[in-house]
Amino acid sequence: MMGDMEMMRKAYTELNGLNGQLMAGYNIRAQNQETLLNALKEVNQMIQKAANLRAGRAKARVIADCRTAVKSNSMKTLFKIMKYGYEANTNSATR
Amino acid sequence: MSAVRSATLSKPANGYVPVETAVLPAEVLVISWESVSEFGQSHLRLRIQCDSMDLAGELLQDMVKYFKIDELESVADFPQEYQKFEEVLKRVADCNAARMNLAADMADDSQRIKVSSLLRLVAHRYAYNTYDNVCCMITPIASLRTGPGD
Repeated sequence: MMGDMEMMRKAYTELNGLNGQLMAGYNIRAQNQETLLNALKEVNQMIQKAANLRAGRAKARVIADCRTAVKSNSMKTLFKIMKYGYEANTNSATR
Repeated sequence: MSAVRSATLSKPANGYVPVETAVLPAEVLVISWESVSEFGQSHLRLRIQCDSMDLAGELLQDMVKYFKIDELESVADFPQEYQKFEEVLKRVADCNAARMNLAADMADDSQRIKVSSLLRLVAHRYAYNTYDNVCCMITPIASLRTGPGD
């Protein structure tokens, strides 16, 4: 490879271009990651706020149920828990 | 933002009883009691009306501490905050989808680098007629092509 200067130059130019592309990709990824992290922090804060409107066992249950709902990606359930304190169909609340 | 210096607890039977509270930042804050009959039992229901979920929560926690209540359920409806939260959730979903796509792109890129550098090496060997080495170079490319990435 060392004997062919022309090819080596070409290869390095290409490599440089590719490296630039990868770096741009990385920057986009990093930015996306940061946005995602901030949004998730907000989600967590909201869950804490919703839990703060209850006391005792209900508080712990709201946190746990909300986390489960977020994990299973069911936003309807999440809103229901935040609003009423429990899922309407499972009704784990102690009256 | 204005500050609420005192809140009024309204009791229908005894008229209005002014109660001093701590200084809390709020735009609107209304607290009212009502007596409700539910499931054959009559109990007191407290209603806190304000736009901030934070404030309502803080107030409620203080009350719970003061009245030494260790178990409290509640219905919380904050349309404004919930609407904002919906946007946050949408942002999470979008970011997550983008993250998946970008990860796939990244994997593709690194795969391409591997393949292209190997191919160039093989082409170079061909150009210089060093066929002895070509066979051993083709093998890894073949394995790359049929790899799990493709």
